[in-house]
Amino acid sequence: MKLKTVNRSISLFVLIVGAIISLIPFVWLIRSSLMTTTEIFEFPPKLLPEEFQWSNYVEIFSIIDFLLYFKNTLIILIPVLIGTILTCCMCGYGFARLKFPGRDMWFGLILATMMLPGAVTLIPTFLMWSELEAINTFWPLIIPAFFGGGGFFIFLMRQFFMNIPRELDESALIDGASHFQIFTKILLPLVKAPMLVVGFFTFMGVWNDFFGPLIFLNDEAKYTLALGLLQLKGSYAADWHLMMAAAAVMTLPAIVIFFIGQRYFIEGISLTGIKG
Amino acid sequence: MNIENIPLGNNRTRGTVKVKGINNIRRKEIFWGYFFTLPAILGLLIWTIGPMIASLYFSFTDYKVVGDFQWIGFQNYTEIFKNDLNFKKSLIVTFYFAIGSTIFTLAAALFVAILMNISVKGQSLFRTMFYLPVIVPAVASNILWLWLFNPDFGLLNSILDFVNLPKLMWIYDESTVIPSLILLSMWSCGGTALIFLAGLQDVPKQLLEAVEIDGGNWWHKFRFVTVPSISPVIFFNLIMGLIGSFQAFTQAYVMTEGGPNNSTLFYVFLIYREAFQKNNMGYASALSWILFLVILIFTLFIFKSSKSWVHYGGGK
Amino acid sequence: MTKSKSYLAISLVLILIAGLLSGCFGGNSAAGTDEESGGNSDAVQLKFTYWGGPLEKDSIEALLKAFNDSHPNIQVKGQQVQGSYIEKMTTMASSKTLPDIGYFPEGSLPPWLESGAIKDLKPLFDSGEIGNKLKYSIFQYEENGPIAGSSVANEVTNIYYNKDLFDEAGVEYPPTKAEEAWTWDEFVEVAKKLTVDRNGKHPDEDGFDSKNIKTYGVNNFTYHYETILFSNDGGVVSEDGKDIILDEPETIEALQKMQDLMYVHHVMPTPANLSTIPNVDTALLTKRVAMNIDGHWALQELGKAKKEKNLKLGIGVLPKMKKAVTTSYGTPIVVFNNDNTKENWDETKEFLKFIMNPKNSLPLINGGLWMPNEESWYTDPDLIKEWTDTEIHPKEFKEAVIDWAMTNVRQNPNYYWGDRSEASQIISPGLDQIWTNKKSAEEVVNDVIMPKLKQKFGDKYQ
Repeated sequence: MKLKTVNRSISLFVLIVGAIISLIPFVWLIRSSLMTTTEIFEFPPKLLPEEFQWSNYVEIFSIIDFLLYFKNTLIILIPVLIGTILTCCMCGYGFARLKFPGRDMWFGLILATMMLPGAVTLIPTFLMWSELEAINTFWPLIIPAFFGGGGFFIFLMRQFFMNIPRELDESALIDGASHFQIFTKILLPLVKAPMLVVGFFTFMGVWNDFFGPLIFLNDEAKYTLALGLLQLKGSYAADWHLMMAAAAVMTLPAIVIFFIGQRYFIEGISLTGIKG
Repeated sequence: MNIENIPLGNNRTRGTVKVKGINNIRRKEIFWGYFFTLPAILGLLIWTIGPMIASLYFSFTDYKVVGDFQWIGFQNYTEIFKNDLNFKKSLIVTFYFAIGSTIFTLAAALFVAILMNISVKGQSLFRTMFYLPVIVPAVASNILWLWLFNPDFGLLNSILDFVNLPKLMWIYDESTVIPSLILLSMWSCGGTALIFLAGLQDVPKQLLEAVEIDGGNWWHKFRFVTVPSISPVIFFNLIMGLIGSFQAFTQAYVMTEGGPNNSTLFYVFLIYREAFQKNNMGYASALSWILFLVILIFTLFIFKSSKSWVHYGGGK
Repeated sequence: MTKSKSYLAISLVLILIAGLLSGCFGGNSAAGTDEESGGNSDAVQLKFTYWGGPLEKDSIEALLKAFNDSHPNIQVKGQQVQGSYIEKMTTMASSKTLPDIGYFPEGSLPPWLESGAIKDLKPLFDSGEIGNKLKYSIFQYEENGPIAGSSVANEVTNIYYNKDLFDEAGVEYPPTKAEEAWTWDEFVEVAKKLTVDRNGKHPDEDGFDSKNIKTYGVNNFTYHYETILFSNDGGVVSEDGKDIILDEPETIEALQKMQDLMYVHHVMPTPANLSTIPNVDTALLTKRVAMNIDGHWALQELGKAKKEKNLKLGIGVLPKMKKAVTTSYGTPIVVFNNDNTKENWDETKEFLKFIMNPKNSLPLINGGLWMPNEESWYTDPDLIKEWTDTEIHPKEFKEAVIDWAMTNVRQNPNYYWGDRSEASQIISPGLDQIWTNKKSAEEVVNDVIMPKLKQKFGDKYQ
C-alpha cells in the first residue's frame, strides 16, 4: 500500500513537471501577444510585459475582416467535419471487418498514395478542379472530405475497428443483424475515442490550413481565417506583436474545443468479458 | 467485381440449404464491403490516382508548367542519379531525420499519452496542457525555440552547464542540427499522443488488475498488457510517423533554412525548390517518385514484420 | 438517449445542407459581384496580385481605387497573396488562369521570362513610354534581351545607427558622403569601440568576454556580403554575367574580412547569436546593435521608432575596401502573357505605367518602405522634397541615401544573371561554413564552392 502511494506521488510529480514544460509555449505566446515588438525581443527576455498591450488585439480586429473570414472558415469546416467523420468510419469499418475481393489491394493503394509528396500532385489536382470550374469556390476544399477524408483517417479507424473482438459481430450476425446494423448499433459506439481524434485533427487541419484556400481562392472576400491572418505579415519587417496576437486568437478556440472534447475519451469499453 | 450483378434477394430454389446460406452471407458481405469502402475507393479513383499518374507521366518529360514540353524518357532519373549535387546528401539527411524522429516521437508520445491517462483531479486540464505545444502556432513557438537553442545563453545550454555537461551548438552546427530538430518534433508529439490515448481506452482493466494480483509491477503491466493491446495503434503511429517525417520539412526549414551547409536540406525541400522555384516540374516529379518508392519499400517491410508483433483484438 | 441522438443526427444533416448550400451560393454570389463591381459593364477587367504587410495593402488598395476612379473604362481588382505566392502563380499558370499583372519574386523570374509566360516589356522601356526608370532597377538577363520589368521601388543599402551609442563612446558618426566613406580598418576600429561586453569591456581589452556581448558594433554584414565584395572589386559574378569571379583574390579577401568581424574582432553577432538579435528598430533602440547594415526598407520601422520612441536615428554610407559602393534590391512588377493582356494591351499598359509612377505610390515612399524608381526623383529638388520631407527621413538622407543611390550603386546580379538562383543553391551552403568559422574563406571558396560550380555549370563560366 505504501509503495502505491509513492508510485502515485512520483507520477503526480512527473505529471506536473510535464504540464509546466508543455505550458511554456502557450504562456510565451500570450505574454508576447500583450507586448510591444520591442519588448518581445528584449534581451535578456522578459517574463511579463511592462504594460499589457490589449490594443494589439484591437488592432488586428481593425486590420482584418474577422467576421467574414470566420464565416468562410465555418462554411468549409462544418461540412468537412461531417464528411470526414462519417466516411472515414465507414471505410475503416469496411476495410477492417468485411472480406471482399480486392480489399487489400484497395487499402494498400490508399495507403500508398500518401507516400507521394504533394508538391507534384498539386498541379494535376488543381487542373482537375479547374476543369470542373470549381476554382474560386469552396468546393475543392470541401468535397474530398466526403471520400474517406484521406488515408490517414481511414487507416486510423481501420486499426481501431480491427482491435474490437470479432465475437461481437458474429453473435449479432447469428441474431440476424445486417452489417449495416452491426456498424451503426454495435461497433460505432465503441470507437468514440478515435472518432474524437479524427474530429479534432480535422478541425485543426481546416482551421490552420492556409495553403489550400490560398491556392483555390482568388477573391479576398472568400479568404479563411488562417489566410486572412497572414495579411498581418509584412514583406520586410514583421509586426511581431500583431502576429502573436493573431496566433493567440487562432489558438483559443482550438484550446476550448479540445478541453471540451477530451472528456469524451470514455475509459474502458468493458469488453473484457469477451476478450478474457 | 461488379456488385450490381450479384443477386441479393433470397434465391432458395437451387443448391443445398447450407451452401446457399454461406453463399448468401458471402455475397452480402461483399456487397456491404464495397458499400462501406466505396467513398474511399471512389475518392482514390477520382482525386488521387489521376494526379498520381499525371505526375508519373510528368517525370518522363521536361514539363515546366509554362510553355511546351516533351517526352524525354529516363533523362530526369539519370540526371538525378548522376548529376544532382544535393540528391545523395538530401536522402541521407532525410533518412537520418525520419528514422530518428519517428522512434523518439513515438516513445515521447506514448509517455505523454500515459501521463494524459492518469486519473487525477483536473485530468481535463492536464490533458489540455499536454496538448498545448501542438495547438500553439509555429510562428510563436519558433521564436521561443530559437531562444532555447542559443548556444551562449539559451536555456538548454544552461541546463547542460548545470549538470556539468559540455555545451552544444544545437541547430547551429552540422553535427547537432538533426538531433535538435528531432527534439523539436518530440516536443510537438501531442497529436500522436492523442491517438495513443484513444488506444489506451481499450486496454482491458481486468487484465491489468490480474497482473497486479499476480504480484506484477508497473513494467509487467505495461509490457504484457498495455503494449500488446495497443499494438495496432503503435503500428499505425509508426507507419504514419515514417510517412510523415520522410516528407516533413516546413517547421524544420523555418528554423534552419536548410543549413548549416545543407545539413537539413530535407528531400521534400529539394522537390519543392525544383517544382516551384525553378519550374522543373518534370524533374521534381521524378524526385518525388524516387522518394515514393523509398517510403513504399520501407512501409512494406514494416507491414511484413507487423504480423509478428501486432495483435488485433478482433483477430485477422 | 436515442431521442437526443436522432436530434443530433437531424441537426447535423441540416447543418451539412446549410453549409453546402451557403458554400455553393457563396461562391456564386461572390462571382456575381466580381462582374458588377466594375460599375461599367464595358470596362476592361484587370487582375493584379501582390504581397506585403498591412501598410502595403492599404497603400495598394488606395492606389487601385485612385486608378479605377480616374479610369472608368478600366477596372483593376487586387488580390493580396501572402504566404505561398510562387506556388499560387505556378498552379495558376498550369491552368492558364494567371492574373494580368502583379508582383513577381525575382529569384524565379528567368524561367518565366524565357518561356514567354511573362511579357517582354522591352519596347516600353526602349520608347521611354514607361518613364525614365533607374538603369540598375531593370530586370534583363541578356544584352538586348527581353525585359521582365523594373522594380516597383528602389532599395539601396546603408548603415543605420543609433547616435546615442556613438555619443556615449565618443566616436564620430559614420560619414554621409561617399567620398568620405570609412576605410575598412577605420570601420573596424569604430566597431570595436562600440562593442561592449557585460562587464563594459571592449574587444581589445584583457578579459573581454566574447560570449557575453551586450552591444555589438555592427550587424547584418553576412546578409549584405555581396556589397562588400563589390567594394573590394570582387563579387560572385562579373558585371557582364559571363565570369564567375568568386575565386578572385579580392573576393576571398573580402569574405575573410567579414569572417574576421565575427571571430577575430568580435564586433558582429555570429549566426548562432543572430537569432537573438531582434528586428532592426528594436535592436537599435535596446542598444543590442550600434550600426545595422540594411536595405532602405528598414526605414519604415526605424522611422516609426524615431517618431514614436525617440530613437536617435542616423544614416551613413557603407565603409569601403577599395571603393565606396552599394547595391540595390527591388521587386519587379510583371505583365503576364495571357489573352486578356494581349487583347487589352493599351489598358494593361495604362495601369502598368500608373503603378510604376512614383507619384502614385507616395504613401509607401513617404512611409519609408520604398524609394522612387525614377531618376528625376533623385535630382529634381522639388520632387526630392515631395518624397523626403517627412518626420522619418533624417536630414542626412539627401547625401547618405539619395546621392549615394545616384552615383554609387553597382547593379545587383539579381537583375542580370539568369543562373543566380541555381548558383546561390551552391554558394549559400558553402558560405555557411565561413560564417560559422568552420573553414577559412579561401578553403571554402576553392575547395567547396568552386568545384561544385564547375560540376554544375561545366565550362559555361571561367
